[in-house]
Amino acid sequence: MYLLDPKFEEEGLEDKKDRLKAIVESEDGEVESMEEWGKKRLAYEIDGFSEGFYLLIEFQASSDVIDEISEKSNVEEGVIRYQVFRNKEVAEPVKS
Amino acid sequence: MGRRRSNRCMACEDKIELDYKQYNKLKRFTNRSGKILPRRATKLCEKHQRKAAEAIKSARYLGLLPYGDEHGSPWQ
Repeated sequence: MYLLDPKFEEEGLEDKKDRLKAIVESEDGEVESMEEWGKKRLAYEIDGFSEGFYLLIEFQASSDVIDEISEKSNVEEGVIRYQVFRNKEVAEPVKS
Repeated sequence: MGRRRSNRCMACEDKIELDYKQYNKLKRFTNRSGKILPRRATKLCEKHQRKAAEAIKSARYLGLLPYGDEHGSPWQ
């Protein structure tokens, strides 16, 4: 789940989506779906923003590359916050 | 004799999903200022209370739910 700069509501959304997709694909991940939640009011101010654009990307990737994907997402311009969740319904059990 | 209210956990019975994406539904497990309610108030079982709390915290991080009402309060 990405929380993006609300300016993407107006312009540059497709570019940004391609860039975020490229991040996952650069680590041999596979993007399964992208869901735009659109612009929402934030419950509290984050980095001076009172609104944000929510984008949910579902992808499959090896658990070893999640850290790299997170790191690249972190330095990506226009990303206010992001969080990677494990989808328990489709994920394979963790091998110990 | 009044009918006794079921003391079964709501999440076990209704199968409501305790997920950050359902943040509007998670609001019922917080008080008006956004604090997570204790189990005696939510009537959730141990497992689901834990899941609800985790989901609320995820939603808070993403700005979907408030941490509390102190942000921008006149006391700051």
